[in-house]
Amino acid sequence: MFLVLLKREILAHLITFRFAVTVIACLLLVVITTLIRIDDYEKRLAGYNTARNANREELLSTRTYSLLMPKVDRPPNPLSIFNAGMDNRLGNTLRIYYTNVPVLWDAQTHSSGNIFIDHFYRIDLIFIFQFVLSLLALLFAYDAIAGERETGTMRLTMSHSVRRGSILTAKYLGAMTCLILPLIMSFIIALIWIVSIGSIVFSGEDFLRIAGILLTSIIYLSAIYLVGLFISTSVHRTATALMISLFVWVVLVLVYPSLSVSVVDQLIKPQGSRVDSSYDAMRQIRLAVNKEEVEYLNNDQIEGESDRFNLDGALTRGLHVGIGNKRTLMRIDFKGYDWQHISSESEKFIPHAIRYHQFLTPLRIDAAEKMGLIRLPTLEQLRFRRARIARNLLRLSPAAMYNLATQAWAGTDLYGVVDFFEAARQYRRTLVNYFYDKDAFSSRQWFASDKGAIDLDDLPRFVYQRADLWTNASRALPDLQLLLLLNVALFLLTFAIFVRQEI
Amino acid sequence: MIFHIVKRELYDHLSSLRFALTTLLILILMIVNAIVYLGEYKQRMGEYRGQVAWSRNELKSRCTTLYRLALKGPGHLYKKPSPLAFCADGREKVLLGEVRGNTAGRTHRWRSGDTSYEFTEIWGLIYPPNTDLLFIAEMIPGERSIMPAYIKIDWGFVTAVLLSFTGILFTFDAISGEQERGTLRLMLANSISRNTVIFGKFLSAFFTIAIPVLIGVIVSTSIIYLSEAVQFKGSHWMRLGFIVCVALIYTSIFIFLGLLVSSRVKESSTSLAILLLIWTVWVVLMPNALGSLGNRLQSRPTPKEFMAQVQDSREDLQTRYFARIKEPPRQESPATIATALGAEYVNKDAELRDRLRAGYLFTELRQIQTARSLTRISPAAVVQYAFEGLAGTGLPRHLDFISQTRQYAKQFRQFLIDTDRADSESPHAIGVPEGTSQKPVNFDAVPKFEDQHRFGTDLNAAIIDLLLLIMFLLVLFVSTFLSFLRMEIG
Repeated sequence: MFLVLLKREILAHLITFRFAVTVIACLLLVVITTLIRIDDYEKRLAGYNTARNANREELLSTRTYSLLMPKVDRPPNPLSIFNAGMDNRLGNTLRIYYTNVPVLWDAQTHSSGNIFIDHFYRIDLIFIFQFVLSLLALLFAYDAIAGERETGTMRLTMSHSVRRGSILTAKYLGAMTCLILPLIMSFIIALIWIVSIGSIVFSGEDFLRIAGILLTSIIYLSAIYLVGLFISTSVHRTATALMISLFVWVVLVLVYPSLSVSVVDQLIKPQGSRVDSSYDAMRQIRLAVNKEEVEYLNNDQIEGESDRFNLDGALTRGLHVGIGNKRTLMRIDFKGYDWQHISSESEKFIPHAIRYHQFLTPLRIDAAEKMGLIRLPTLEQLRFRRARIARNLLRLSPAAMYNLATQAWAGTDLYGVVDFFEAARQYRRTLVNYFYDKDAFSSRQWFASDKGAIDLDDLPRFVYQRADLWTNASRALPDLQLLLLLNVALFLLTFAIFVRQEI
Repeated sequence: MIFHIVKRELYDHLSSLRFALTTLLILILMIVNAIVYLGEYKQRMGEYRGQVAWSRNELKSRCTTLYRLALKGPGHLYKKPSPLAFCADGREKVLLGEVRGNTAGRTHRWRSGDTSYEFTEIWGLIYPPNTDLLFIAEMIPGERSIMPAYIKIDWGFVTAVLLSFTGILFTFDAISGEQERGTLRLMLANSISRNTVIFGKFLSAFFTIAIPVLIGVIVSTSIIYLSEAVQFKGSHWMRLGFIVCVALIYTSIFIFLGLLVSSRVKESSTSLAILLLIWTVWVVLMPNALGSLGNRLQSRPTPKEFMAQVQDSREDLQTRYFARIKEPPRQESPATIATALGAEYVNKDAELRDRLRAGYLFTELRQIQTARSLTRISPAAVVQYAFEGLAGTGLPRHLDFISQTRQYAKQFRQFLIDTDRADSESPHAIGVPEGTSQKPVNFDAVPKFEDQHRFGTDLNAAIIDLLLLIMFLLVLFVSTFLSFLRMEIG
């Protein structure tokens, strides 16, 4: 009996006009979107490659240790075709100074896009499913119970020896089959398209991530369908069920996600006082180092208060970077030198210069680390907290949960991007350790290349790998669990109402 | 008779669930928007006033000599926030609220034998923020938000998305539903023309939606008006009136669309599915998806290439002039040839910078213009642009602001020349300190920049969108009537 019901449900959905129209529209949109996103990805990849080569060249032309400030780049994420997330919105190129512990806001973008256009809301595959297929789910659901009750077929079915549970389950499974069908077709079409173009190579793990995205999509559609079924069960008339479903859809999918984030963005402002106090504390650390420097220069045997120690020759490159941005608590002080020629008369000053760097550079590194210890928690408090509040508020809408979960699977969520900066901080530590290992501060090559440029062969390279599958899965899990919970709760609720109902 | 039909339908609609839900949703969104906006406007206006006051003070401190004034000018120029931004936000945050002035005063060294002289860049406009000195731009990263992406909920959003949605909701079963129930036959059996029926259907749906819209508009405007944080002038009320009219025209488009589909399709559930799909694609997806195509259709040099080009042209100019300058400028009246040439070089350089930068800005803006033209296939985008134009936000306003700053820069330059002319002791070669009047400048006489919101210009920007909307309306109106007239009623 159950099978008969299920078969009837599936057939009833498949032959409807709304099914045909929605599926065709969905597939068309998927094709167009995939095309646009692939093109976008290729452009970004080209930008990444150019930037990386340029940075590599720049690094190889460095001749002294003090001028080592490699730039590292974040490759575009191929899974951004499914959910673009934050992948393109946050910085993707970052200069590593040994005097600065890098954070997200120190990065720039190497893409040379038009800033005006880059802010058009981006459409990706998830966006399509989130809108079009969820609409189809609701259109399947609104008359599932209410419609049959109105037409009287529900009584007819009940006159057989069928349990109410099986009727409900048959309805649910039938509709889900008809929803999963276009979903899987869309995934297959998108994948065929991506694979046949060939510029994007997915690894085995990526396919598992895509499977995760597919699974999340199914759970999302099921949640939306159950919302519709719940409404259909609790309301007497089809027309009412339809209206309520549509309004719920508009609110959950369209209005609420934007409304909640914009309210948080406007009402929860970073506290200025916290910024002030942290920036001040960072300034004190910097001043302490400067004081040490002045004292050192005053007490040494060389006249003059300069870090050039009366060296005479050709200073090809003397770089002094001092940039700050209070809003992101950025303060980078960086000094680099490259004496390509030092006259023989000033050779006697060299030991002084070496001693100076030997004494001061470790102090600068320590200061940078101390500043990082103040800066990171402050930014965490000021900025990540707001984003977290916004994300948590968003979780009242299944559409937003779906979006966040798929972002996590694709690795384009905030934490996926933050991983890159974690790797960059790691790399900075490696670089500092490299300096210590090489005894770079006490070497002449710290500031002069007249006796030959530094050997960069053993310079540790920056490697960044996207988080592995399990990390992605564990990041997607909270939203996935919430979605599942919503599914179960809605199903039980619908069941409870349906069982007690008089037909 | 039409009066009866409208009355009957109106009663039906007003007592329906969809009317209650629509009213509730529109009211909630408009009230939240108004409350959020109040805080935002106060903050923006505070920032703007602070910036303007600061730059006035700077300007005053520069009035000690005419050369200093030429060197630093009025600094940056700031855009005045529109008090009507709650109608259409216009992505003001992306467009930036200022046109920068060049106050860095970088120098270019001229050498001849042992003598050398430093020419200093004078004030000029630097428009695009991302080409503002590539060196610095590379060093100082932008402030990026890690908030999840969102669409601003303003009147534009409420209109473009919600009103179109309700337009469909009130009409999808208007004809197909009556046909299903058979009441359409009954009605047409009386001596009612089909025109009257369709017109009555339209009017009733129109009034039903107009009621919550007007309530929402009145409530949200009163919140903003009564808080006294925002000062409204007469022209603002006129703009608001236009905006409400545009919203109603836009809603009518979708009412007609609903009637059209409803009259072509037999079942109301099918007509709803079709309408919802059209709506999703036309209103939600299209305005966003097509926008990103603008980059592809119009190419533009990258900032790096552009900076290289600027560098080349400027070096070219510099070589040409430096070859002709034989001695450093001297303080001597009338000006020596070298002084005059030097001053000419500095001015030409400023002009060149301005020309190149403006050219680059316009290639950038052309891309976004293309993107906007593409998205105009969707009335949802058109209505947003019309709102932006009328509210004095968004791209057209930004363009007007830029043209005002250009005008002002011209006026400022003219002022420098005139002031210098009035001083008979000056060698009249503005651009080098030796050739410029040494007298202090009267601060009150210096032209000051104030961003003006010009209703005429704003309306002009919105007019094309208004016409497009009317065209959409006419096309749908005609096709609905024709479709209903030719419809067979079974």
